[in-house]
Amino acid sequence: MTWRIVAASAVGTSHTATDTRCEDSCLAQVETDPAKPPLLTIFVADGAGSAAHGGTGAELAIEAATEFVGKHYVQALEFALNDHWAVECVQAVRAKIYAESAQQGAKARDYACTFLGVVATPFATLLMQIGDGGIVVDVGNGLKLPITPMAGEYANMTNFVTDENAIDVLAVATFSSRPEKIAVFSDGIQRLALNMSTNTAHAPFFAPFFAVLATATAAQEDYLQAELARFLQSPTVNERTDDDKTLALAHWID
Amino acid sequence: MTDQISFGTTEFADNPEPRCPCLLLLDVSGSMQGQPITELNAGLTTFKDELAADVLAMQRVEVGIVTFGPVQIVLPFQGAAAFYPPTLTAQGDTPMGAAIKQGLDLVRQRKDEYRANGISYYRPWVFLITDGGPTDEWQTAAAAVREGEVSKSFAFFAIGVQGANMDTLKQISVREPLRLDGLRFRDLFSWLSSSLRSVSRSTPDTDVPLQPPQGWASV
Repeated sequence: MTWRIVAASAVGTSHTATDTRCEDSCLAQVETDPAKPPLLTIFVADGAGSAAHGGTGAELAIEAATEFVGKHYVQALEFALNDHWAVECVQAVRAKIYAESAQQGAKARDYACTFLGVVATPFATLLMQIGDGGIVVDVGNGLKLPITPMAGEYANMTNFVTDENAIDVLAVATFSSRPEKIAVFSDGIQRLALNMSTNTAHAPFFAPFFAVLATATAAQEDYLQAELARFLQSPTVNERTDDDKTLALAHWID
Repeated sequence: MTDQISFGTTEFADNPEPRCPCLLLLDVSGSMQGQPITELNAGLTTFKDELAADVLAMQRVEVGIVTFGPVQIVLPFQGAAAFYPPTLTAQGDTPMGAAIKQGLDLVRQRKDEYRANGISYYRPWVFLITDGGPTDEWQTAAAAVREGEVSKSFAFFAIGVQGANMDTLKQISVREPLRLDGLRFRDLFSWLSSSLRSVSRSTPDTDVPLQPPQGWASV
């Protein structure tokens, strides 16, 4: 009774060309305290290319969100995972980035990144998102994209967790059931995995991943992680995107 | 350990590439006759060749050309792959104001087409190249350029070839107009294609840092 998880990031070919590092950051984990129900958390952040320390911002965002979950683990299990919880989590992320930028004598904008988060128990699912990238989830009625990826008028514009109005643009979705399948990805994967004109999940993209996860054993998770990283760097993917790319997936195992 | 698991997919969503429109407003008035028009044509060929060397740019960059005078849509917007540089000939006066208005209309129409078809796009670039000064009413066009820059509807660049009225260009273009060194159109278009390549592969940002125009321009 847990989720089988796998997550990886890979540097985009445009970053390889200019010798810049991967500015995506991600973390997927399941808390398995035997005394409590399992808690799934997935966080993905994509550092803005225009920000001097976007990659660092993304790492800080993941750290801050993970710390927040650690502190509010019991609360997450005992109380509803709701909008209020999401706002507090994003505020914790912002506080960490603002503190770090102030300490470095830089502007928070220099650490701009997107933020996508999933927190789930066997009885509830919370999705939160600022910026582009996407969260595709099946809470019992098929693969859906509950939150539309955020974009401005132009293809190279989106919202960041460091923006003044981040809390206003924060999108939250809650469900009173667990995610049977869930995938979180950065914008480098977006155009491969979503039908952009309808803002729906392109199910055939996800099917093979979920099929493997459904039957994988805990012992295979490391191997799967290496396989996912290999896939993200494969020529078939690089022909379609030159951006950094992150994909994190989880499948419920009875 | 089962090394046989095949992980990953070849089933990708079929989404159109985001487009990066670039409109060229080219002065083909009588004063461009001779070497200038020859070099401009050679520059357009360089432009095509350098875009063609980049797979993503070929899929994303769109080129449109309006010449003046008289004002003529030589090339409506089309993908770089289908862009075959025309051979321009010099003739007529310099109706720059009307050409700018025509060009901005084309940009607006193209954006509408993108939106109607669910295609995402980058901020359009409008590139004005002239060796003279407007022979028509240009103040309305200048106001439209200013308004478009403020609302970030497009980015407008002006390049003056020798003989250009730089003072008027300054009143039209919000960005500082650049003066082309000699007839270095090829270097100019080489810079333009490399800049468009950066834009067409920019990740979510607000601004794309452009390389300074080197070897072909001065302010």
